[in-house]
Amino acid sequence: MAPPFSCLNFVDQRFSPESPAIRRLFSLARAAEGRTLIVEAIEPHGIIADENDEIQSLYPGYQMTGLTRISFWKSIITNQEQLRSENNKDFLGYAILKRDAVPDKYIDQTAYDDPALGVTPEFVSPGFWSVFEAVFIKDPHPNNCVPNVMIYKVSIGDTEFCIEGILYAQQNTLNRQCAQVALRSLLSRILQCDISYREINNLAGKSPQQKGLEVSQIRDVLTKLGIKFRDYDYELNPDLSRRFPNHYQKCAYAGVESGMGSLITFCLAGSSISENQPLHIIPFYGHTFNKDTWIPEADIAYFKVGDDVGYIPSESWTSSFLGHDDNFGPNFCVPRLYLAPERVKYVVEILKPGYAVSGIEAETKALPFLYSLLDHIGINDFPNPWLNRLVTSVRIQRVVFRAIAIDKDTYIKHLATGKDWEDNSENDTVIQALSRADLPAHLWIVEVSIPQLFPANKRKLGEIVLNGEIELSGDDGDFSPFVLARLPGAYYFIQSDQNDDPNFERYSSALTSHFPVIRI
Amino acid sequence: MKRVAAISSNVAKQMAHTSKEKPQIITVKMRYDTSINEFIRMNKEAYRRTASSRLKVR
Repeated sequence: MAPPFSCLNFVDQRFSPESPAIRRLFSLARAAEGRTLIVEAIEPHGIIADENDEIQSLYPGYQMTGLTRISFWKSIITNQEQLRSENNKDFLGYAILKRDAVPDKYIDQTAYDDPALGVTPEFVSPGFWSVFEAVFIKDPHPNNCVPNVMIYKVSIGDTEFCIEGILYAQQNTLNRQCAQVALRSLLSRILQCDISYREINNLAGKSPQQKGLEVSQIRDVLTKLGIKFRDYDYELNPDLSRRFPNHYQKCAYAGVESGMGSLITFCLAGSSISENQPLHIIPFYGHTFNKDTWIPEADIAYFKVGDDVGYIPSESWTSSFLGHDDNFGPNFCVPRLYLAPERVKYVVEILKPGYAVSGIEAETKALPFLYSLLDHIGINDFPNPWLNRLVTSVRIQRVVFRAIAIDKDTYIKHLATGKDWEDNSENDTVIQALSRADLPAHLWIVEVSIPQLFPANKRKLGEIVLNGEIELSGDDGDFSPFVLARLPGAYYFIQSDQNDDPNFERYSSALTSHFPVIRI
Repeated sequence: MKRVAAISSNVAKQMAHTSKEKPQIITVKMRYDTSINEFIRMNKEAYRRTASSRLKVR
């Protein structure tokens, strides 16, 4: 790929100059200092052959007129023998590019008018190139966070390699539109295996003539695969978006931070877009973290649930979501505040397996426990400067919450292996007690921090732990989801025979100062 | 509706048994804010209502 090789020329000559998505692949490789491009003609197998069968059934006379695998490498590779000895660290990404051609009589040009591209791609023999799939490494910058990154295996030449990333795919306007490719992107990670477009379309109950999917069909796909989720149509729920304008951002962030991902549906901007224009959907799988962002200080992001309670959500330090846009390619930063609430019509937060509630509900439910408990902890009885700082932050409603869905073993390991700022480790007896206790397998850990601590070194002052396996009732006096609270110097549990005003039991903790946040 | 914190109580018992520590008891007057439960109910209702969504994406 050294000069005078031009990626732009290569795409023009070999593929389609009209495809921003294919150009994006080469841009990513160039930006990652790719030095070798390997181009292979491959045969359709597995889900590619399955797709060809599906398109053939929809468009008799269909032909696949091209199938090429390209891979990008940071090292210089000149022959097959050298490729065999390559290791994964120099592997930047791969893509399978597919050219599909259907007889002209099936072409409805209006179906291919793509307002985002501003062009009408030619769809005549020999066909139109699209990205069947691609995986590129994430930008290595430490502020780009991708929880639960997936490892994909792919054969290049006769050697199998692994690459970390999140699968991207592009619509071909035949059997896959943005809804199907967005679903496949997240499903490949959730299911830990690939899923064909035919299976997605079958699960959705899509009719042969239908383009794209309806919300009910997206729900069907997820439900039939046993995937739990929370989704919100804001046109049906105007009160929700009016009262909580950043609601969709919280949902998207909760799905991303749990390692499952989110889907965002929005209407495209531009005066040429009619009101009846179908909506666009894109998957989010990560976020950026900007410790110096002004947003939390400016109250823009403050989540004010009621007059006396609220918190600064940890997504306040997120400048952009990381996601794919099938029209333009993989691994984009989508500025969080760019998608105005009035343009976002629908959001899906994918829940981790075993979880019954959303991260935003868990955060909200944790609020009264923290606020009430800190009202009654006598600072003089339990002198601790970090506890004191937390109490002060809560009194002025400047406390930071971050909800993380993890299993009980991971939580106990987190406590057992971490050290607080004064190099204290948790007492063995506490770890043993938690290990022996009948904790729910799936926990919502609502991490609690203060504004100057959380962004600076990603540390916290404690957590409210809730049972992730049960629905939250939304009733006063429902203590059933509460498992424990850990604050500097102590754990707090609720006795079972409490009255309306519960008795908390306080046990000592050796963790008396701030502690690292959980990373997944 | 009052629902007990059975799990929390059981973990506390295990903590007492393992650590041999006598816990301090703190009675807490819960600070309820109707907005919290209202938000949870709104969220649940919005999710339920979304089942009848007619939005199309492609």
